[in-house]
Amino acid sequence: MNHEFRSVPRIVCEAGALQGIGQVFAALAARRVLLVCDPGIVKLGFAAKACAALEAAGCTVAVFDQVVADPPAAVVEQAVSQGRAFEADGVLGLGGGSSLDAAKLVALLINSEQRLEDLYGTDKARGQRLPLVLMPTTAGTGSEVTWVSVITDAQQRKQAVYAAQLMPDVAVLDPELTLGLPAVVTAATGLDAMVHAIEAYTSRTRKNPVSDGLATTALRLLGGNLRKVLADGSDVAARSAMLQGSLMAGMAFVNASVAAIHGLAYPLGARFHIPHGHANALVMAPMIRFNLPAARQQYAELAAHLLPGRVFEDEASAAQAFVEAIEALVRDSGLETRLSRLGIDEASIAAMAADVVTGLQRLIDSNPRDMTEAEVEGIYRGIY
Amino acid sequence: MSNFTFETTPRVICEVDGALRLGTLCRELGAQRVLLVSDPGLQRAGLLEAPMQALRDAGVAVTLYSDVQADPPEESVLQAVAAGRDCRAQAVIGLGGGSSLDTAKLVALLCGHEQALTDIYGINLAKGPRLPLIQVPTTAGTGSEVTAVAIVTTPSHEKKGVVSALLYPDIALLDARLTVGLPAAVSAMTGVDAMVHAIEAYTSKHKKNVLSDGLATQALRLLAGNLDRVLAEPCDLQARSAMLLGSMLAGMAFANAPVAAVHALAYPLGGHFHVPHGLSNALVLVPVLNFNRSAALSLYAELAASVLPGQRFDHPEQACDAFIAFMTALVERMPFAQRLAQVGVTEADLDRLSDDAMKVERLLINNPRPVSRDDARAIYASVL
Repeated sequence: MNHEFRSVPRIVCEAGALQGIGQVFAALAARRVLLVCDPGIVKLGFAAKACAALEAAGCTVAVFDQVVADPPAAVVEQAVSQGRAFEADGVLGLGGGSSLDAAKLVALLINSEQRLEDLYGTDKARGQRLPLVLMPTTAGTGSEVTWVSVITDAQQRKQAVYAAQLMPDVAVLDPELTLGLPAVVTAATGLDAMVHAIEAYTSRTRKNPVSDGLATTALRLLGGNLRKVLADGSDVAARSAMLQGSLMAGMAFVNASVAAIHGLAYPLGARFHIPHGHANALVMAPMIRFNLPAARQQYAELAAHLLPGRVFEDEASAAQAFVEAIEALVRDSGLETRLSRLGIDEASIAAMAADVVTGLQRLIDSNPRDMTEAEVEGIYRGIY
Repeated sequence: MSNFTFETTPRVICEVDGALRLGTLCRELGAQRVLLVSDPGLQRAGLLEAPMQALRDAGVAVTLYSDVQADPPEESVLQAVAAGRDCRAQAVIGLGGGSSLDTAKLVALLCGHEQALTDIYGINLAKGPRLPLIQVPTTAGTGSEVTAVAIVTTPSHEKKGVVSALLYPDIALLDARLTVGLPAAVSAMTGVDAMVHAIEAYTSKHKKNVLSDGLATQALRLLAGNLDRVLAEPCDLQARSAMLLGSMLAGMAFANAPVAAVHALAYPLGGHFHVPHGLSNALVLVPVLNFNRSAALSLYAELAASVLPGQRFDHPEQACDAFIAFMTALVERMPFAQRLAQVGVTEADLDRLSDDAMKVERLLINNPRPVSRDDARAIYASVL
């Protein structure tokens, strides 16, 4: 009954919103903006568009375009140095989850005396960050509405920073930025967002009525539009719905927690560099089937949102239909679904299962069904 | 294409006895001297003592302004502002119904940045920064803790509004313990008011969006499922929490997808007959729903799923009628006046009421069906 709910105070959703980004910073009284992105965003011309829009509004811009996937700490530190030298008074994160996660930390560290490694963990950050605006170009991680950043430290370990200051001032959704996403990225990030909604709704730890309302609406949007954007990547309305669904799923999970699907996905990313969304997509179908006995009622409730208009005989058949609809979505997504074809050796399975139960128990705690190490191994073997 | 902007309170805490944490929360916001803004009724009821003690225990000096009046007059707001300046408040806490929260918003604004109240009536005319602000509603409710509006009564008895994103508080704190002593009639009126917020946000003609929709449906589910329970069991903390959450979610929804004809027709009842805001809304709700039926059929049909969860409908007409029938029966069993005549309205007043309702054009434009003066008069006449 008791819980806390945090939200980004301002969300703008508009096709062509990138052209208006200058006004967004003007409203925040920021005049010297550091743009944090990756080389792909420069190549697509989005960085130039952002710079032009900012300059037209009277801002001076510096571009840091060296973000890479699972951003190393050193990359974040480089961006911070550039931001300090430039005397940035605002930060724009533009890109996928990695760029947004990096931009959050950069905004926090530019005026801070803390070092990046001082922030690892929960609520370690002190002081205020610079004005921060986040624009996702995938739908998505939901990073634009969460207070988490994940980076890779010098020892190749994933480190998470949880801090209220990481929530941006404004999240801006512009579906035009996602029109050109390759199908595999669209599929992986779209399924990732669905996992956020599903795991938030079934979370055993912090599920609450607010996250429930967001998760169900998110699932309705994502489930209703993923096939559309895969069939026609230039469908602006469907791309917009995917971004909105991803954002709402992000709001839901950050206030309710994710669970074992994420737990089993992490070792695939850490050990084999499988992109985060794809890693979730790999394990989501078997995990949902595994969870069915414990989550039957919740999956039945979600069936009404994933399969609106369908009439079910009873709870069991609704839950079954939900599981089958997820399996079909993953199968039809075009993503590789077998670990063996992704360069993963069978011998690693035991070690990955050990990673999950030793290092990621908190995610199993949020899962609707408990898992032993043997059961984790069983899931990996089932998709090998 | 569904372009929209969504703004809200960044942090919501829902916790029984959460008001006892106000001291810690003020410290987090960097304040050691606060002004507590409340009304004489709450002071008499002894509800302010424990929160004030908690503030003092945390080393926060608290000054009480407890003279907030219903439909706060300019003069009363300015008195509260003077109290804030006198004690050199570093933060403001609003604790009470909509009038206390509205007053607290303006105190935080005018103490934070000196400006004349009469200069900022209207949209986005206020200048920041404001003082840190925590809002603690004691009714469920107005949703004022998550809206960007404060309504003031001018010396010429006009209602004027200050609309500004600066009015969103830093924290909304929902403490069900503060609502257990509400008289049944107040619980009923404010509860129906909150339901009207959710319904009108969901059917709002111009700014309705997926986020407001998701919040409105979840709000309606909570409110419809718990209103009878708080009337039967006033001390049921779980039901009281659900009502506060529902009211807050409905507030988040209508802050971004504005209300319509129910509110437009309710305002003249408050202005001329001093009918409490929630009751005014309840009196005209059912005839407006019937009036809107033709234009809002599919939307009302969708809302049926929120008030009658689990019920199956064969077609939208049936669901829409079930929704209207549910709301009709709910209003009829509430312990408050059901007819305009019971609050002093006579046949002779209907023309004046209809004329005044037509002046609330800013809300009428949000109604799913255009409302003429004759329509307004017919609606009033039907509930005389």
